[in-house]
Amino acid sequence: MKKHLLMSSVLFLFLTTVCMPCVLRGQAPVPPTISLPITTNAGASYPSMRPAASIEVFLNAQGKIDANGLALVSEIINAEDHGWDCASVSSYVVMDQDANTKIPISAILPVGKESCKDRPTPAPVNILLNAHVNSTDKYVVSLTGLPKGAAAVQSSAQKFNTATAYSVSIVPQGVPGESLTNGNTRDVGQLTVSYSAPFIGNSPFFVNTKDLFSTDEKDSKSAFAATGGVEFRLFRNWYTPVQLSESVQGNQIATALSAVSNLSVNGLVPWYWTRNAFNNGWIDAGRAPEFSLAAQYTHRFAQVVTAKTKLLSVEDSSINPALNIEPFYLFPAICARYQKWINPKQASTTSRQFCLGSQIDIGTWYLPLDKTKTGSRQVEGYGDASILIPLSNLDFGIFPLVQKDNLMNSQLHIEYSDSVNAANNYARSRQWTFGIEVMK
Amino acid sequence: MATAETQLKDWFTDLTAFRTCCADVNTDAGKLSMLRFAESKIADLLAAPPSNDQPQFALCASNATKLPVSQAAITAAATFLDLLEAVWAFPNLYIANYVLSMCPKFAAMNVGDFLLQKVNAVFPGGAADPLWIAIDSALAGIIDNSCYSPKQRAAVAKLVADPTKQITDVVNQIAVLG
Repeated sequence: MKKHLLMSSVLFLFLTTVCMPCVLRGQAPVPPTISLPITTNAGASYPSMRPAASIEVFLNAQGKIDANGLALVSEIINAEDHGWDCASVSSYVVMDQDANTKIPISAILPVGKESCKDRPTPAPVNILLNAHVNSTDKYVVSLTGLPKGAAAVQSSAQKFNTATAYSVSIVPQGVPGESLTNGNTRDVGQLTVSYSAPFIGNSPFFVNTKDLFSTDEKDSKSAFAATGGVEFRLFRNWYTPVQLSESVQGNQIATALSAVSNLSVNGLVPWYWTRNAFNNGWIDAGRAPEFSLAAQYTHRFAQVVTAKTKLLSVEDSSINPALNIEPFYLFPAICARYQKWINPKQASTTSRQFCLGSQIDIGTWYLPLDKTKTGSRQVEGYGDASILIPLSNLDFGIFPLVQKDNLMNSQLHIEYSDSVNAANNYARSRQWTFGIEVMK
Repeated sequence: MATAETQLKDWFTDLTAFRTCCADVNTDAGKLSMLRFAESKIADLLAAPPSNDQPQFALCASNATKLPVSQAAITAAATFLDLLEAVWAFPNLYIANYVLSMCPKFAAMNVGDFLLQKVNAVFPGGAADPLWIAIDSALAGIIDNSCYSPKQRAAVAKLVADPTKQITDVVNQIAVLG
């Protein structure tokens, strides 16, 4: 009886609060909101490498055939048939939910080779925002201008993974007994300031600074470093980011002041055309080698010389090309035969785990302003070569984990390196290294 | 204007483009079947930054497919299949639309209602129904052999022969790939 009464009460409440107002006003019940799948993305976008904040809107419901997905696709097609334009900026609203502000849209870009007007499945679109975004606020996309009676279409609130907006940090602090450049100590107040703008507007230029200002100009921690630069790519289909930057650094009263110019470029060696030469019965080289080139020029306008620091040269420069050849494996045909012999069932899988591998890194420091003892320009080459001897699946009865290939692979790594330390006046060292590497 | 057939073909064309771009960086990808490539972990074939492997793949794949293949999307996806589903779509809706387009009797029906049809209403002859045989053959012509293998075709045919199943079950089985 009690249960019956309770059910009646719930039904009465439902009829009076939900259905009656609609009936009294002569309106149909408000259709439920359809969820709109979106993905946020901020930072350098491919293939243009231009910095941008964008939101991919899946008008195709990401191909899902659940109730929401089918309703969304049906709604988009119906809306298009009634004059709604999926390619128009005015069809979308992007809100910063935390700041309760509308984000301006600069363009609606097509995604993929198809169009959002296509049938039977509309293609997604990319909303390009005309504003900087941060990584803390949540953003919501909704469709606007839908035909009368259509269900509302709105995304869930999502954050951006990275910020395109600038960041500032100012931190004051008191430091007792701070060391000074004249050898004394003193209680000082310090102000740490940092500012970073990963992009200026929608340009590839960036600036950042990290400073520490002190109440005593002789504070040994006082520092100023400002960097400005640009990052761009050289080729449309070959990822070769070039970064050019200029840094000015010193202390707060510029008794130490220097300018550092940097240029760097790196990428993969486009080697796919060599695949037949490096993938045969003698050699198995899967991954492309990586190259890098870094050049630096330093001009020191002023230096603070103390008992602990000596005067550095006014001008320094270096050019550092390097090549990293990823591991390659020798005699893969023999390895495959060995694998077939010990385990015929797995003969079709990779036999690399039984192969002798090798890895090589080479590079050069060219120092155009430095001279050797004989008066010639200084060039310091360096490199390392490794031999990788597989241990997995060999019969190591005393190392049970090594035997279980599904758990981890292991290899004996023997390396000979001839290196120079750029931070220690290019001091050279040569060494052999032996180690067992365990890889999950 | 695209058709259901071109949309389904485009999905697999994009997956093929992913493999081609991956093989440019790591030739191992070119030796894998389409299914094994799709299910491969991205990190096993392409090293994460600061290596240039993944950015080079992203640049190539963005150019080839016009999809927004970003570094963030690559980092978030475990496999290449996950990546395609994240930046474009699951294949389910495209398969459903294609199967519907092959059934003239249901041409006026929307895909949602079509998916709820019992298989024997669409294919009265079960797996031996001439319409199903034509669709199965057409799907095999569009979908790579490793993704719509004889084993997978047999599994799908089993569902088509089961009158208790709906078209949605058949579509979901095809979309499993394998």
